[in-house]
Amino acid sequence: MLPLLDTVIGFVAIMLVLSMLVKSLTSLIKNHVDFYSRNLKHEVDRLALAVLGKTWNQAVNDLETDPKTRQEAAWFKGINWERMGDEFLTKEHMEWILKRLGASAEALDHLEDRLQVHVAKLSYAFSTRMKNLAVVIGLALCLGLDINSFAIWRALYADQQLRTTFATTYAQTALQGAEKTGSPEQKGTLASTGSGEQQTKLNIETRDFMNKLASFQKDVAFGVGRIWSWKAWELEKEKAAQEKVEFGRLRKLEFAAVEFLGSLMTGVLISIGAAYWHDLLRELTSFRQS
Amino acid sequence: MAGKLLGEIRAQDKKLIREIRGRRAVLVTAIGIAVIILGELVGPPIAASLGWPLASRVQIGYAGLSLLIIFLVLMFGVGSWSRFVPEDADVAPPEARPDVPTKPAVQAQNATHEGGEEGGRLDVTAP
Repeated sequence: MLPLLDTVIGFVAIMLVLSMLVKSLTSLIKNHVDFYSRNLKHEVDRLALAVLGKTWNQAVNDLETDPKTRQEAAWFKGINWERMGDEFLTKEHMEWILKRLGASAEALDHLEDRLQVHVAKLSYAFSTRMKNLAVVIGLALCLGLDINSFAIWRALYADQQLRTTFATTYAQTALQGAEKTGSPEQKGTLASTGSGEQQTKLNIETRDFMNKLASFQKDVAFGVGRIWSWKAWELEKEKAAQEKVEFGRLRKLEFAAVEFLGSLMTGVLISIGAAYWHDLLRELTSFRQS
Repeated sequence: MAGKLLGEIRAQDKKLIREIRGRRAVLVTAIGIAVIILGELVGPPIAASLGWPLASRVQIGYAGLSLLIIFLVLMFGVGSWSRFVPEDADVAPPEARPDVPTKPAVQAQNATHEGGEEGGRLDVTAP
């Protein structure tokens, strides 16, 4: 019973560390690409179209053509969407802005309710994209590095010393690491910072991710990257020779298929989320202690 | 009546999205398979010139398949990119979009649905 429990704890700890890696990389890409502000601008455009009958850009251009309102147009054009969050979409702000852009009082009826719909759509688009991105990054990481959960499980179950290390010290370190970096999901980009400071933060995030990845590769050296390792191919060849089977194309394809399916499954598993693995690991370690 | 019309428009939208996704899926899969086949053909001579063992053919297949899966998930996964990427066409006024029925077109459609000389009005009492 205990070997199996230790194997499960070790396996979950590895999944947690991998999920943390995916989380770091997702956050890094999100900060680089910044799809949140693009979606925010899109929602504002849709609202402007519904209220004014024209797009935001058209409304601002119309303001610009009138010498009386040219200065206001400059203010609207100067809005930096990358620095905006959904707090921009409040009734007070939007009422003031849309009136300046030429909205009538009737067109602003039920503005608060409509804004709630736009904010909900914005949150939905953001969270779904984050999930999509996490799945893609999880798959890319596992398939690229050939992180095969079958091989990890087998190695943990077969090696007692390895199993004990991963079920005790490694699991504790993984838990502590997850608690330290378990801050709530930040929306948008590094919004409140200047461009220089933003670049520095992105560099720190990149370095942090690279360190975590290097540390993972050092700790979990077993069964990872077998498809790319010539040594692993030689071992497979030796195994085939022991079994008196030809190490032909079929055998090679079988080896690659096992690695592919194992990595695919690991990618799907780690995309579930760090929070899930963290809770599971905490419960399993407390169960082991009792 | 208004509900029926809205339902029809939504159904048309869904059909259009399915068609676009289908076409993209075929395109991406075709490109992926072409890359894998090309890799299989071109890979071994390159691998041999670099002094790699024959296993590299299988490795190239693995890499091609992985890339294909990643691209497919990226394009058609939870909330595809295209669905949430704002496009100017998406927010352009209805008259600038040929796929959105304009007011006269909707009125004409109402008239057809009501089917009579008195058509052209929304029947609010209809279920």
